[in-house]
Amino acid sequence: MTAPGLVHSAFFYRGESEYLGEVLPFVMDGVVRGDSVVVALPADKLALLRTALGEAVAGVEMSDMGEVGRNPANTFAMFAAALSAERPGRRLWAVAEPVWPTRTCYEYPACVQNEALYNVAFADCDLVTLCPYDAAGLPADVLADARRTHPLIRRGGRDIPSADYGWRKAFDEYNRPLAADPRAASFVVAEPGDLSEARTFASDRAHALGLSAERISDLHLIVTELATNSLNYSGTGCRLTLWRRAGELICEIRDGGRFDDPMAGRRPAARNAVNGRGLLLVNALADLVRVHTSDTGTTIQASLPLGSAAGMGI
Amino acid sequence: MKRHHGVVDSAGGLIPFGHLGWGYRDRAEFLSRAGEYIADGQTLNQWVEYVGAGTREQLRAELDTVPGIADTGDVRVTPVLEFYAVADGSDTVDPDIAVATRVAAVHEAIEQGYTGFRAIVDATAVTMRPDQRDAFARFEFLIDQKMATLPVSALCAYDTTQLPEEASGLICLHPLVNRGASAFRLYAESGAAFALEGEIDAANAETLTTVLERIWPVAGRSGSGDLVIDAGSLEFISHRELLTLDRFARRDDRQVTLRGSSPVVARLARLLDLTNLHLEHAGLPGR
Repeated sequence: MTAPGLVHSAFFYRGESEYLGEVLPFVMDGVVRGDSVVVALPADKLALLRTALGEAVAGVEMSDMGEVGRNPANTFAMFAAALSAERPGRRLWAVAEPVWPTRTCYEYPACVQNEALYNVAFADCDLVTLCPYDAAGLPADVLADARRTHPLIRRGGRDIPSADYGWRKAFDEYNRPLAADPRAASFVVAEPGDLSEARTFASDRAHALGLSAERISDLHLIVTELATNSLNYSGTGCRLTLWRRAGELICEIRDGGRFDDPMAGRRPAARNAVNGRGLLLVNALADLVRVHTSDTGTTIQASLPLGSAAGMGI
Repeated sequence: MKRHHGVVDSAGGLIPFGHLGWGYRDRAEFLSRAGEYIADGQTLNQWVEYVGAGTREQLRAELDTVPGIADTGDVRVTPVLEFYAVADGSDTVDPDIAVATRVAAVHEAIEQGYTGFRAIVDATAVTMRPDQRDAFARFEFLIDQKMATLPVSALCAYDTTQLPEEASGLICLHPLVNRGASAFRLYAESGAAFALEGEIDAANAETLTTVLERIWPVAGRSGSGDLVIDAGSLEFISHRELLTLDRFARRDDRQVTLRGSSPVVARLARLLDLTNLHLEHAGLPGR
């Protein structure tokens, strides 16, 4: 057994038998040791593994990655919670499939950045993670990115170092400029006194774009948290813009500051702590959060689903 | 029955009672509101009292310039320190003495055949210093609790040219306020220690903290210490300010229940690991 520390491996599979041939022994290894095992997979893979596990499924916490990891940033809170619930001296085993063929090219950069940061966030944790990638269904550049965001590649039950590993480079490469819909109206938040009007602007726009009444609360919280963060940290005020994009409402905040803490919004807040919760909340409320930052400014786009006519805008 | 509450553009029509906080920038605006408030009191045969800085003679002279009042002869005038029974040599209102004095005056008005009591108070002179504001905020909170049940109300005016940042922390302690004076209100409501109404975010976070520091020690002091806050009209609160409420509750080991929370408050409360603040389940009896 190796010393405590993160083991983070990518695994490239073609077909169900290869999938189970690697994932099943990995899960069973954790189960027979009496450790905790957390599995987050797309629904079809979840069903496949559930059947293969049989009675052993009782010892495994299983989640649909399409829900818990729809916004990939939220998986950090899930793993952190599983780690903090772990008994001392025990190891946590995780299977997490972060990318699947219907992930859109708008979502994908957030997935890569999330995988990259996983190496930092859990570096000191006794956590063994296997990340399956569908080599038959995913483009070659996605698999190449997986080699850069995972220090290890698993094959035949063994981990070998990834020659291409370099999480920082992968993270930075997907820090890509984000464009707003040029036709969309904007609202400038120059000071905290503008926040109330910003919420009204956002809900008026969102209503016209088809956001359901139940999600208006989420939108108000997202707008307030993002704009408040901008006012606190950028010193420039910010511009709020909303538009419809491929079945989603995009809520964008653009400011003139640099956003230097990629772990903000992923790092769990200390109990009773006042700071560090704004972006965590935004991640919890939004389907996806995209970030671009540079010396000249930061853009954050949060997505909320618009009705049932959601299209895949890949 | 719910009290009159919300944002108003006039001091008229708040009948039979309405505790109104008003921030004014020029004296003519204040006098117009005073006229509206006095006229309703006269119509309803309430004891009406005009209170402010200055002597009786000065107040009487100013009262005669109030627009819209045909006869001010039945309106009493009282210097503000006297109105709140401030001890000689002091200029700070003692909340408990002031409340007892005001309640006694209501009973006296009823005994004399009036249908109630209403005051028009310019409180600027007794709220110029932080210690004065601490004391007067406590008075405002406590008297509002009385106003929820007794036949009494007041138009409490504050000169925002003298209290540019500070007035909102006093005006928000009224169920009724003028437009733009305070985005949130904290006032007495039946079955609760107080109601929170309006929108709370970074724009008024400091005001909320200041107000809670002032009123928390006297909120619900007659009971076990545990509190119910009526949040039915709280349209928005951001996470830091909800955590502020939780922190106040935790600080003196109180359990605080938010009653009738809006969807946004309920959503937020479920996402935060609150320790001493709880949502009351919607639809329970007593709402």
